[in-house]
Amino acid sequence: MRELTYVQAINEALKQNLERDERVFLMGEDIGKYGGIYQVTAGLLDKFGPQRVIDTPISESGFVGAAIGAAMTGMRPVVEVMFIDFTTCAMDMIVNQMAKIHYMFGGKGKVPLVLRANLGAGRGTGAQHSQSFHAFFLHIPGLFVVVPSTPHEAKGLLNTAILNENPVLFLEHKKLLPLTGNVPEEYYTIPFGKADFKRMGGDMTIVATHAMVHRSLNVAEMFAKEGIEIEILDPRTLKPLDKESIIESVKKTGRLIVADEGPVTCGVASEISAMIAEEAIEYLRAPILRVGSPDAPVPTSPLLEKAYIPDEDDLIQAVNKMKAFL
Amino acid sequence: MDLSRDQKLGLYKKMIEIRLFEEKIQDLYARGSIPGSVHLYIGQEAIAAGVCAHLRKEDYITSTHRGHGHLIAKGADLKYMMAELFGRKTGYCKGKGGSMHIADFDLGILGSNGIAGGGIPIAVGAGLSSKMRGTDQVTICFFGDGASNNGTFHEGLNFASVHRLPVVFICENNLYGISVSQKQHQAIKDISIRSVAYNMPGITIDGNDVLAVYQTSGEAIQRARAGEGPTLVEYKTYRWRGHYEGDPNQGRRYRTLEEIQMWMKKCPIKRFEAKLAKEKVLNKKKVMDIWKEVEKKIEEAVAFANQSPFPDPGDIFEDVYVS
Amino acid sequence: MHLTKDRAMSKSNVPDGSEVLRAVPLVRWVAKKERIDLSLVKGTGPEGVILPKDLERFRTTQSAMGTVVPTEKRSASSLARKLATKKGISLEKMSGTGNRGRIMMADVARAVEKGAIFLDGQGMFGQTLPMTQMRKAIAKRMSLSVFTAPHIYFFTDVEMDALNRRREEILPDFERKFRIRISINDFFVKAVALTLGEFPILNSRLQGEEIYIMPEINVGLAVALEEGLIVPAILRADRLSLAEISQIRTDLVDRARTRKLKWEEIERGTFTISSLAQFDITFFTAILNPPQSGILSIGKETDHLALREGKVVTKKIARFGLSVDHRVIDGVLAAKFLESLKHRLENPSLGSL
Repeated sequence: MRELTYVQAINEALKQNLERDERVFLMGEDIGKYGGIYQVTAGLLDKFGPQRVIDTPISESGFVGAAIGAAMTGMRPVVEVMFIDFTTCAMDMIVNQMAKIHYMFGGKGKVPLVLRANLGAGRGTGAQHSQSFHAFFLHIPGLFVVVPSTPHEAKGLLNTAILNENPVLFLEHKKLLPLTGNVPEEYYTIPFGKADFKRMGGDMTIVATHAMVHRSLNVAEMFAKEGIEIEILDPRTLKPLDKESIIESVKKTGRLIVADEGPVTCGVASEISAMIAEEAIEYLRAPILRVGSPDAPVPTSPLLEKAYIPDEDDLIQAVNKMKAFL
Repeated sequence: MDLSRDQKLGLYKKMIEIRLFEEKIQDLYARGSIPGSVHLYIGQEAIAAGVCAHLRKEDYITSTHRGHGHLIAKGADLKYMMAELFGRKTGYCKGKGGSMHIADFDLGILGSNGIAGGGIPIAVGAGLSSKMRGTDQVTICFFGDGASNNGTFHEGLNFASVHRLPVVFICENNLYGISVSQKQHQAIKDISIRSVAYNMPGITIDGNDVLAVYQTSGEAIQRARAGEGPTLVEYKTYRWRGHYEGDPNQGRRYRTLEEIQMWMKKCPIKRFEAKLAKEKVLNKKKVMDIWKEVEKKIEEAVAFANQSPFPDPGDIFEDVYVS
Repeated sequence: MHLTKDRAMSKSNVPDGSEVLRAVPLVRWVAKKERIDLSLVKGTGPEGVILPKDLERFRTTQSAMGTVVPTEKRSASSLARKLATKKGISLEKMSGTGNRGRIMMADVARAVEKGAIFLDGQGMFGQTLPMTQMRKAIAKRMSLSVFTAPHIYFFTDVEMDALNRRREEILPDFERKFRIRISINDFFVKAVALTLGEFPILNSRLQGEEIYIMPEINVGLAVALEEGLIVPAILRADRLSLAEISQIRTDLVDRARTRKLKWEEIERGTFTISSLAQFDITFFTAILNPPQSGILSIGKETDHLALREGKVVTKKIARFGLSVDHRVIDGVLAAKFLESLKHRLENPSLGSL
């Protein structure tokens, strides 16, 4: 079995899609000659030429909008916004245009594009380049939001995203870029709306996204020594969300921790907590705990940034709190 | 460009269609038959008619909140437009879009946009797509003086120019955003001069002279079709009514009666009618016939809309996603 | 740092100062379904929140104390439930052979034979159980009663055959006409009420150095709940028809079980009947229910052999006991009362029962 990094897996997916479908093209800042800020699109310009790998001016609204127009008229663009933080420069295009066109126009017109962006703190990139506010996009009907946590999932889910007829936000976590994993060479897809049980356990459930998945796995190993078995569920796509699997796990363990790197207030964890409180409250044996970033901008100084990021220490704190309800 | 008699009559008829349709909407809206808000095109007919006369079915346009004129000029069916305005299920957008969001992809109408300048990047994308697919489709991007200040104007024109896309940017300068006059919202008088910043041709023309519109837009469209890149064309015009139906006193909070009356004297339809009468292309009877024909068409559209059912509340989730 | 921070409220701020019950949702759900009073359960979770294991412990404790375990949880036929209650057996761990594991009467019978344990004894021994409010109240009252009122006890054997026959006779009529199911207890209430009418001193209370004869005859019937005995009283039982007594009795007992009785309905009692006839108890001595002066205890009906006109016949005998406050009532009076009651019960047609 072949091992690729998260970056290589995405690169391969893009390459294979550019090969198999001439309607697919890439657009974004510095994705061509430079190969992308984190080298995710390295080598693709050479292989496919400037018609299909376009280096854009710094105008998110303009080129995301252009991707929309192109998608509406027969193409299948994969447009990159360098950091999720910059999607704010294209908010009208994302919120008022791509998310609504199919609906507003009564089911006519569709926007089959993929908007790739990276998120997450941990590389000292500071307040405007490290955010994880993907929860914004869950709040806008009409968008799909994909959050792969492994190289295998990154490739499979990106393939599915490109095939999908809806606008898909495909979000890559900075800290996962060098992560290696088994990635089949052939073309394959992973369905949206299907969570993955990364670990089975009976005592409590952690629903985790992106880097929180791996941090939770580390923490689970530690607690296993104490005889506490933690179940870890990775939604993989936040929209569409696999509610059923989450409820199933809560029914079993009765104790839920939701871990997502966005700020806690009104984040992904809040939505999942509310959903469980509404649909599965009678199974709860403990309050629902949310682990996420604090309600503060991301600081740069390393110790501060480390304190900011929700990591193993914060998860351990949550599990310990939960232990009192065992 | 010399036009044939039929072509001239075609232009005239199109302007009448737009004028009478909008007047009908004005009336129906006042009576409460139309929910939501409408922004009427009365006074600007020459631009839509003159520009779209050059377009093929497969050419694209992006329109604005004041888009009924563009849609009619591109060939939209009045029945489905009326039904959409009435909020009926049989409308172009199944009642989900309303006046500001009508689209017909069969006619290349990539939708009206409620966001000022929102259509500019989308038009650029359509141009990009045509170029990539190797067709000679042209995209017309309509927007107003207000939108010309939005970031999307800059980003869109820049992108189109650097990639030499087949897009014609048509700025309908009616001297006002909503209530803020051009003098107050930009330092320049002729918006077309901004074309220099994008190394594309720019021109300012009297937008109430349908033949001038026809001529200039035709040239720009030719350029685009020939792969020579985008053009910025500015048409000076005026809207007779307020920004929206309900704008007190037809915008007299921010416009003077004198100004409105002065522009009404420059009515594009009256001017063209007079010209065609002189050329013996039109006479009183012909005018009557055309008006009657158009009125009948509009009445049929109203009847169709009135008879159409409203959407079901259960339809609310339909088409949020493509399944 | 990133956990949902300190809770906004650690203590409830309910104005009357009472603590709001804290329990995790699963516990509330189960308690609601099984009609368990959570105020009786001690919580060991953070800040005293009640956890599922606390509820489990409570249920175990309850069955150990011999109080009737709520048996609504397991699916069981009504005959099975009756038998289980009679035998004092918990249905919880029983296996059922009916539809979808439903417990049938035969299953209960079998469990009885096998010597089924009604105590879920694991973990009980060595445990210290807190006294509930009700338990404390009962302890106080019973102590008061026993240590202030000198009790004297009298017993008599009542032949139940005639009464049983009478009941059988009127049962279908009553069901049809009034939609009520007459219980033998209804007869007892009526009989006691009428007999009290003849012996007013037994319907009295001591007030200092005066004996106050209560203006009304309100006969109370003791109902056993998990946490203790509760005695709702039937108002002016001497003036009610059997049907009325039956209806009121049904309602009071139901509401006793669902904890919906009004205090006044308990307080107004002037005489108490306590029956352990469903259990294998021949007779027992009851402690007066203060401030009442008399209490009737009823034991189980059993078959006896007797000679009647030289022939051996079987009779159903129930042993009745009467306890009275000797400060108020003498032996002779008590004996006469009991005799009269017995006569009434053995001759139902005469005693207007």
